[in-house]
Amino acid sequence: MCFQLWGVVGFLARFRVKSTPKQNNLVAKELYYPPISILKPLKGIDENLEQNLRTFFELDYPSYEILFCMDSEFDHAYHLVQKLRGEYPHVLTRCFTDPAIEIPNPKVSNLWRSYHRTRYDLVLISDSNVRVPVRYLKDLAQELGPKVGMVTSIVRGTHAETFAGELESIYLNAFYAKGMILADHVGKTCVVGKTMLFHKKTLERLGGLKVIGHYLAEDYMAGFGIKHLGLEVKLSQKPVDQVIGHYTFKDFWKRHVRWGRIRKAQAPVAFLFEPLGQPIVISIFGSLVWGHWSIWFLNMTTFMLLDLLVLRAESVRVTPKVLVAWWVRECSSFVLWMHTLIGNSVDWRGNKMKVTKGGLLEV
Amino acid sequence: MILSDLHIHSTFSDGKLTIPEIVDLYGRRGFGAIAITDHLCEQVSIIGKAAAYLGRTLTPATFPIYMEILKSERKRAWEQYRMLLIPGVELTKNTINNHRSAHILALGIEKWIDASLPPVESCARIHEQGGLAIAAHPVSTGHFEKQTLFLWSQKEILKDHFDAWEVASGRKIFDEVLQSGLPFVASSDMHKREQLSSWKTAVHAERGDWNDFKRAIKEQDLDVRYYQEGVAYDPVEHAMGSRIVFPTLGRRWFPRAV
Repeated sequence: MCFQLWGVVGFLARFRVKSTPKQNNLVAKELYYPPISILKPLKGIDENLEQNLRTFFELDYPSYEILFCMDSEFDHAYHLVQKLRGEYPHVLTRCFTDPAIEIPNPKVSNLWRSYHRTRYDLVLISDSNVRVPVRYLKDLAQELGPKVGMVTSIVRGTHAETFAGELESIYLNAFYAKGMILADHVGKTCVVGKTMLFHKKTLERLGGLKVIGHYLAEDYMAGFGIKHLGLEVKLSQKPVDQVIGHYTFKDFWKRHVRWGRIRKAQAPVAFLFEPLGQPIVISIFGSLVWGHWSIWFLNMTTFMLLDLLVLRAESVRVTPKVLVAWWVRECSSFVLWMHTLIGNSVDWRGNKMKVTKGGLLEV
Repeated sequence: MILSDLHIHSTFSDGKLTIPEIVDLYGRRGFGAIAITDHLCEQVSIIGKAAAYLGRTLTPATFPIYMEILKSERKRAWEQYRMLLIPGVELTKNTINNHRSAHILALGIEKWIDASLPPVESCARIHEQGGLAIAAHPVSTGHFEKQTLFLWSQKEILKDHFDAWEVASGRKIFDEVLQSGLPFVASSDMHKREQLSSWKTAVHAERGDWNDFKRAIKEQDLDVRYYQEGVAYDPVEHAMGSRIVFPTLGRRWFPRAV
């Protein structure tokens, strides 16, 4: 049953992510593309930040603005932003560094600077480590509709420079991608904060950023609230690239403990059953039932091949390093889950926080 | 006079309709006031914890977003339908023993109330927020469902703390409540659209005025009507539905008409 389930997910993933329906392209030419305000919260110079930001200045879209927000003009990202603004004077941009207001979620606290100053009602929140193709905004805008409250994207990990980066990539490109696609197909699309396209007036019906800023997973809670308004959360057909670069093993572990503790807080029952979806657990169980170690290897190999289908659908290049990373990630997944199970605190960009039930934050 | 339904559930607990759908459903039918009262289960019992895990109750995490949506829909309900949307919860204490189970409607509240508090304290918390405390389905409903009989068993102690007791929930009138002389209201306890046809409360209050509405409930300036979907109504009285008649019982008078 698990084989079939994961196989179906893999197949659907391939079908869903790879397909670029021709009719959409035809329709796209007739579409009206509404103006968009892109909010870019920045904190320091991430690796590859310049190349990432540059892709936003080169978007093929009729009308958009980029609003950068950071703690102060002494933030290293400030000078980079000014340099890019100078290189692309035709792109509407503004930069905000006023003092933050008291919102527990540090990303939302940063975003607030620009959120209430947008020119347009249609807003895109986009993280700093995202790199996009020129058609990015058009691809997102195509998913909008009267019943759509928010558009989000699957994240594809790319440009890993270290083995820990490959681990991060495989996590994003296999585990999370499959989970998002499966959730989407059962009508429970999860919002990913790297791409959130929505109308401000929709988010204001939930209380706006000030309310969702009390949650660690502000993206998840925004999606939760939007669904309770009777609106849809749409998953874009195209993944968005997260450039990973020189990731350390400590970065990888901390991040996934944080994400795991968010999942635990918001969906505790689903979290408790997560090991039942882990290939390592299923394979060990299978080999105990059948009484031979080769069953374990056979199961793991089958799961790996199914994940390779997902990677192919996302146009991720499969190298020997990726395969090794897959085995290491899967074999460590249960240990990571155990670490996530014990404890409720997270460390996010130097901010120590406690995640209470439901994902509310205590700083 | 305004037709009201004071016990409705949305997708935030175990209802099938979203809050905007509920507003449109009642608003298009000319209702003057509705209260959305999603379950707020006590978090200490296993049943309450299970409800939280299954998403069948409000939790401290979901409550802020629930209240924000009620606030924005309240504005829309008034602008679009001239209908008063009353934010509320149903404080829910479920145990295996029906005689120890109790549901309390807290109407007009904005802050979290711990559902594990004893009824007297719950009523005090509700009143502190300027709300109305109503004993929900306090006697047997006669259906195969969870019964909540604790409040009725303690009615002599509790009668001065509750603003009203449900005399009807859905399509059933509770004779014991009717004959008790206690102040009452009638509601649908609607979880899905098919439950819209049911007993409702017609309140003699100024449309849109929450304080006048509260006064009317406390002073029992109201009567109880049966609302039937699809039945022609008197447009002058804003969709009152058909009137089902009862003879005079106790000191309560029901309008005699068909």
